[in-house]
Amino acid sequence: MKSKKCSRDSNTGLNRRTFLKEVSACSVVAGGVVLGVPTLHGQEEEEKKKPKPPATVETNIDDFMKVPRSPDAIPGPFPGRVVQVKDKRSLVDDKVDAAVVNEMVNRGIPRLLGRDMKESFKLLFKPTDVVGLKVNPVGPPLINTRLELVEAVIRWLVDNGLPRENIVIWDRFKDMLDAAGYTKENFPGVRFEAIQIVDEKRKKGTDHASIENFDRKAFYFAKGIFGKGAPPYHKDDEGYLNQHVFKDEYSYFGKLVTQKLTKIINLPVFKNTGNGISMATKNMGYAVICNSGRLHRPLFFRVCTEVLAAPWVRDKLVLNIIDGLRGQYEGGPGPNAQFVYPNHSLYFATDPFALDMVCHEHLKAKRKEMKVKVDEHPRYTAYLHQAEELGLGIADLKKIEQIMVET
Amino acid sequence: MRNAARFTGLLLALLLGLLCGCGGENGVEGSATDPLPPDDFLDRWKKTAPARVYRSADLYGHINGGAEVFLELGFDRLTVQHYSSGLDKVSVELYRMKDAAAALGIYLMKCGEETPDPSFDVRHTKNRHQLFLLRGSAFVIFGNRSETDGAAAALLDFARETAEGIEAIDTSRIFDVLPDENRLPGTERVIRGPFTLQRLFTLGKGDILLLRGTVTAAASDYADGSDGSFTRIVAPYPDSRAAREAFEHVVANIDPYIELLTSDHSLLIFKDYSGRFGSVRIKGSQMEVIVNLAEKP
Repeated sequence: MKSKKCSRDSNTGLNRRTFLKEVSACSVVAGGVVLGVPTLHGQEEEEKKKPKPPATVETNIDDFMKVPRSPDAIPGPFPGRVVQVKDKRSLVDDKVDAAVVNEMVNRGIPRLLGRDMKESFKLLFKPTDVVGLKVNPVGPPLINTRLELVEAVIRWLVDNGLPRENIVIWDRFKDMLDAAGYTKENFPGVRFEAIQIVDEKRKKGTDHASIENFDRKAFYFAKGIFGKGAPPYHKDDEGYLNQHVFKDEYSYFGKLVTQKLTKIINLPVFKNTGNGISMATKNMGYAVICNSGRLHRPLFFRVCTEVLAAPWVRDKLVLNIIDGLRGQYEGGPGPNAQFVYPNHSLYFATDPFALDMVCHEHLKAKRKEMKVKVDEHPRYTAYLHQAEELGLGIADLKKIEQIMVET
Repeated sequence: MRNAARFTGLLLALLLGLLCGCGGENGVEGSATDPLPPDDFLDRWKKTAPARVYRSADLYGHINGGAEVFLELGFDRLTVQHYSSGLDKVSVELYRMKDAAAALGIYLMKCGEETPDPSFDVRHTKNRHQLFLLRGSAFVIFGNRSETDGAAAALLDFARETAEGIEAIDTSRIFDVLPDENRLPGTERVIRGPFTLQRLFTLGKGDILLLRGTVTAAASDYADGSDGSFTRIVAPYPDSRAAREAFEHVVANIDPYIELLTSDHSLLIFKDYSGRFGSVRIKGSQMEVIVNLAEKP
């Protein structure tokens, strides 16, 4: 195993961040090769000096930030550190190799946390924890969190003393979990929970069936952004309620997150949403609350930062592993096979914002390589910089330590 | 006898009423009006559950952050139906858009480089995982949910059957507002508001071109004569007054990261956040936006 710092490169500016590449023992490459994406730091400096558009919607982010942070709060013990483990054996002929994925997890976690798997578990968990695995089941089988990755993470937790019944695989909707294969048959002994259902049988004027799933004392507030009466819902309040549980300025957090889980592992996928990405922070930000549909148009990426700042998420989210075995560089967030490619990578971080910043850059580079139009407006990463200003993570690429572990 | 006939008529009316009511204001249950392949299609494909219908903004429940562009272009409803045959699984997502331009807009955003099957003459693109179909005001995604060869081979059968039930509409005139010279085929786009515009360029906040979901702008890339390309967007407003209003809206609300170089009553020239150049110009009832120029025009 070798580890090597990159030398200065005046053309790419790569010297401005710590950039390590590790080559596993079985690799024939001798190390020193820089993977990742050259960035224009000079340009970023210029961008920072330019005026930022005002935030136009008042939220309760300040209330979240007044709550003292727990010792486990993001960005965790390694702010700004992102590990990419790449292994071309992980996806061959469109088939995922579970054993290789397990190896990748066993390489990525120790490299991120600086200790072996057993000690890594002890750093983040206790055997009494109830650990939520937040998967992304949208778009199976093309671009959802692979079951093989989830299995490898469960194996690590169980091997180190966490009872299987203390593991909860979860997402917003149960039918999506089922469709993607997150079932008792595939994961015996593990619990499954959806934040809510789509209440198809709800009668007009009655409460949504999932109303008790939400904690009325824990909410994300967005002033003036109602489920009711706001475009495009103004003609469709009842239809809105079927999916969104409440119709006011509040998005309540699921009791699963506020009351049941003690730790969260975030397992998103590697894909775009328009000019931005839908990875670590979006997988979490839009999945722990109800009434998120109303937030897309006026707030969109801000939700990814501000909901993660809430104590119920911030203090429990201890690890993020992006499933980048496949990547999707265009046409997202829905699955679009035309733009899906074998990326053979898992990305590890305790800091979800550094992770998203690195992956944003990687996906942008892929888009350019594939001649897809790239709008590099700063708005698409402004939410990550907002997180850095709030002390939730690192977004400045100069401060981010990227580590490549490649077979 | 007459009473029996009256009773039968009443029963039929009741049944018809129930069918029409499916997927109503509150509902997400199946719709009887979308031409989905029937149960037992080709004697082997069974519907695995009732179809689910998403209306208007319910679409967020299906594709979350991807819903905006559908809603902006003009979305009516989505019907999702799953089928299985042994280990093979196929999904059909039939998006009914408000008009054919909206369906074309979504198709062009999604299709990438088209790879159609030569034996099927309805516009589509396919690979092993998905088939995207465009017909009339419908955009349909057929998905190979099992990643099996059997399901992959069936995508075309599903597409043929579905296309039969959808009326074709000619959309060939939508791009007439764009000049032909140096236009790069396969780069055309339909724009009706901020989300579709921002897939190409961020000119300003919100509906900067005042398209309001009703003006259908067309866009395409053009060769710039030196191995590069730029993007031209042409918005045809109902009249010159509307075009003037939109131009003035751009002047007043242009993105703060854009540096204005020249500005007069009908032309803006600017440098963008990537160091590229662009212009906004009105000509009668049309506004032309050019972005991603390597040099100042």
